[in-house]
Formats: sequence, C-alpha cells, structure tokens
Amino acid sequence: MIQKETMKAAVKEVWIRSLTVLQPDVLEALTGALERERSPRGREYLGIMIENAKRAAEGRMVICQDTGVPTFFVRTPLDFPFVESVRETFDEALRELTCGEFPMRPMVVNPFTREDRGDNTAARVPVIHTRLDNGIGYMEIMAMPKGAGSGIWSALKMLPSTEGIAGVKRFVIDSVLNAGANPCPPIIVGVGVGGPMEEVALLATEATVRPLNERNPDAEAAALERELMEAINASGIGPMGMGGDTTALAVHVEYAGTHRPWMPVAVNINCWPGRRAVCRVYRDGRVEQV
Amino acid sequence: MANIVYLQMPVSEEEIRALRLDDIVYLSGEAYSMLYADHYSRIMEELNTGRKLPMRFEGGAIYHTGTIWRRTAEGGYDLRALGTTTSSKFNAQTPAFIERTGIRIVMGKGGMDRENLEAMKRFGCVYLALVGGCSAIYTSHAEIVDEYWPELMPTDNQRLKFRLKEFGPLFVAMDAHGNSFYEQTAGETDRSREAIYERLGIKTGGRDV
Repeated sequence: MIQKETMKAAVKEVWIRSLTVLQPDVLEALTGALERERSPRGREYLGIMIENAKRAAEGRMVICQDTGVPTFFVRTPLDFPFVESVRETFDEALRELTCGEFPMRPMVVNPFTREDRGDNTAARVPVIHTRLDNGIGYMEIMAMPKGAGSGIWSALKMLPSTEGIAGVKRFVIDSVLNAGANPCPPIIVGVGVGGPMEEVALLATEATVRPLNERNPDAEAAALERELMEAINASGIGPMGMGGDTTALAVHVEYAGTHRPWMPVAVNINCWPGRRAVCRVYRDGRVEQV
Repeated sequence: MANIVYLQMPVSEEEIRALRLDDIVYLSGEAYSMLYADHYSRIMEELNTGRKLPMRFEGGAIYHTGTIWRRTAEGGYDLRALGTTTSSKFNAQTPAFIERTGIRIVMGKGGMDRENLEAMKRFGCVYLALVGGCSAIYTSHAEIVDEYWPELMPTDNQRLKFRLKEFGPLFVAMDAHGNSFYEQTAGETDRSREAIYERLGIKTGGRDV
C-alpha cells in the first residue's frame, strides 16, 4: 500500500515544479517564435520570457506570482494500491505548502462569501480531475496551476449542429480576439469540440496541457489546429498584446462524440508559460518526476 | 530605437511628458500596490472625507501586482514574488484616481482603455508595461517597506508599499500624449478580423457578432 506521506510528497513536488520549471516543449516553442517574430518589441518580450524561465528554474522561484487555482489531472488504474482519502491528501499537501515550506499566496476563496481558509484549499479545491486507465501500471499526477488572467477568458457554447465547423472556428477566433492583450500572449489555446457540456470543458482544458510539439493524431483535428493557429497569428496581437506575429504558441484541439443536434465548443486559454508538471507514483511507492 | 531612461520618484510632470512610446524605463523609489477594487474605493473614501492618506502618491506610481510575501519574525518582510496583474480590471476607477492623487505612473500589463489614456494625457501620467508571467526577473529589484489596512484582508494583505531599485524593464506602452500601443494593436486586430473570418470560411451575415 502507498503511504499517505509518499503521495503527499509527490503532490507537493509536482506542484512546485509546475510553478518553477518551464517545460522543454514550451521553451522550444518560445525559442522558435523568437526566431520567426518580426516585431523588435515582440522579440524583446519573448527574450525576457525565456530569461525569466531560466532564472526561475535556477533559483527555484515561481515563474509567475499568480500561482493560480490548484488543479490536478490524475490518471490511474482502478486497482492502484492507495486507500487513503484522496481529498485529504491533496488538501494537506497544498495547506502545508502554502502555510509552510513554499510560500504561495492564499488565492482560493469561497465564491459566495469571498472568504478564504488561508491555505489554498476550499470546497473541492484543489481541483482533482480523474481519468481511469487500466492500461498503466502507475498513477500519473499532472499539476496544472490555473492563473486568473488567462482563466477568466475561458468560454463554452453549446452550438446547434447547423453552425457546423465554421461556428466552432468563429467561436475560437472571437474568444481569442476578445481576450486580446489580457491573458499574457503568446497564448496556448485549448479547444474542445463535441461531447456533452462537462466533457467539452475538460477536453479544452486537457488540450492546453498537451506538449506543444504534439499534434492531434486525427487528421481533421490536426488540420483544424493548423488552420486556427495560422489565423490567430495573423491577428497582430503579438507578445503581451503589443503587436507582432506571435499571438499563440499552439492551438490544440481535442474532441469527443456528440449528440446529433449539437456542436459543443469550449475554449480554454492558457498564458505563455503553459505551466504544468507530471509525476508518476508506482505500485512500490517509487515516485518519478517526469 | 528605444531610449533607456532611469527615473527616480517622485517624478516631475516634465520627466513624464518627455517619455515616448517604446522607451524603456528603470524605476527607483517608492511605489504602491493595487490589486483589488476595494483598495481603490478605500483610498477614494479617505480622500472624499478629507483624511490624510498614509501613502504619498504625488509624483509616484501605482503598480497592478499580486505579491507573494510574508512578515518575518524580526518585523520585516520576506518578498518572494512580485509580478504584474491585468490592468483592465481597474479601467473604471483609475481616471479619477489619477486626477485626485497626482500619481504619474501606472504599472501593469495588458493596457488600459481610452478614458485612462485621456486622463494620462490631461494630467501627465504614463502607463508602464511589465512582461506578464515574469516575476522571477522583477522581484530582485524590489522590497516591501510597509503595508496598509491589513484588517481588510488579514490572510492576504496586498496593500503594500515597495521600494524599487532600477526596477525594470518597464515599457512605455501608453504615453502622456494620447498614444497607446494597445489601441494601435486593437485597431490592427479589428482590421484583421474580417480577413481571418474569410480565410476560415466564416460567414458573418445572419448572426450577431
């Protein structure tokens, strides 16, 4: 059986890594954008972002002061040997980090009273999304801090099927243009298509944390990603909204089957650091930060 | 080519009016945080009732920021991260704030609207943009020297006074002459919208934008 302390330590470390270490694929995307960007100011901004990421990793400092809503994706087989309370484990991990070894601001509040517990926990927060997968021999935990400045531009619409794929494209473009300079561009655009409502929101969110150098294996989804990416980068918004060729670092589309009369679409916009980190907890209690 | 300008606060109106879009500023002196709307309303309330504010805004700066910090056992402040937050949240309150307080610098990200641009032109104020998501770069050029009204949010007081030391790079993104990079970009985005629709086969007739 996996001990609670083992799991807590894994959650803490993956959370801290998500706040302090930029993923190699994001760095690669920024570096590529820096080579292509024609606006001198845009190039300067991209250079500062890359420099900031280096300093954060070296000094184990947070990339951004908005450490966000603690959000985790957990993928696990059904027979994984962990029987402690998952809620308590994650709550304690965030509480101990916030109040103890690693200072984060207590950002999470009750939506009605706007009061906080002072420790980044609240009803159902940390948010824990779970996908069951009996094909893996470990539990995979992805930390995905969701910042306020990009998160507020997320949008969802249950379009009728008559809107078709053009309706989906328009919703994505309008969401991105509406957000403009605000969500710290160059952004990572996660698009969910299909499903019922809760699934399309999850798909859009999962799309934001796919590595930036991976395309959707489905040809039509990949073509849509390419088309939307080129269109968004023709908008002129540019790094931090000050003009340029680099408005999006990536557009990722995930889709699920849907009802015949529906064309659901969700857009989740992530800021340029695309913060995420993954760890795997094995059955023998070994933890691998990947 | 961008000029690099080192400014020490309090700054004069002349120093602010001399700044042009694209200049890069490194700022020293005292600045005050701004993160929540109730912080503005408290300041305005104090001004309206004629009380003396504990802050000195004249010739100074407000900074749209969220800050990770703690009080130390010795009575000081341990500042861990100082970045920037979205300025458009404060569009409604800021023009009157500029007029009433005499601040000359607003620091943030994402820019502010036309009313703010006009207030900046009229009263001699600039908007200095930080690169968002970059607190690791900026934090080492600042320290917290005081806090205000902690009772308003005991667990996370964000009413702070900073001492900045060559804090930057800060980009003049809205100057005191009515020029704004954000307006220029938004204009370009508006112009590109139709072209983007056309390229993606989106028909704009028949549905409200």
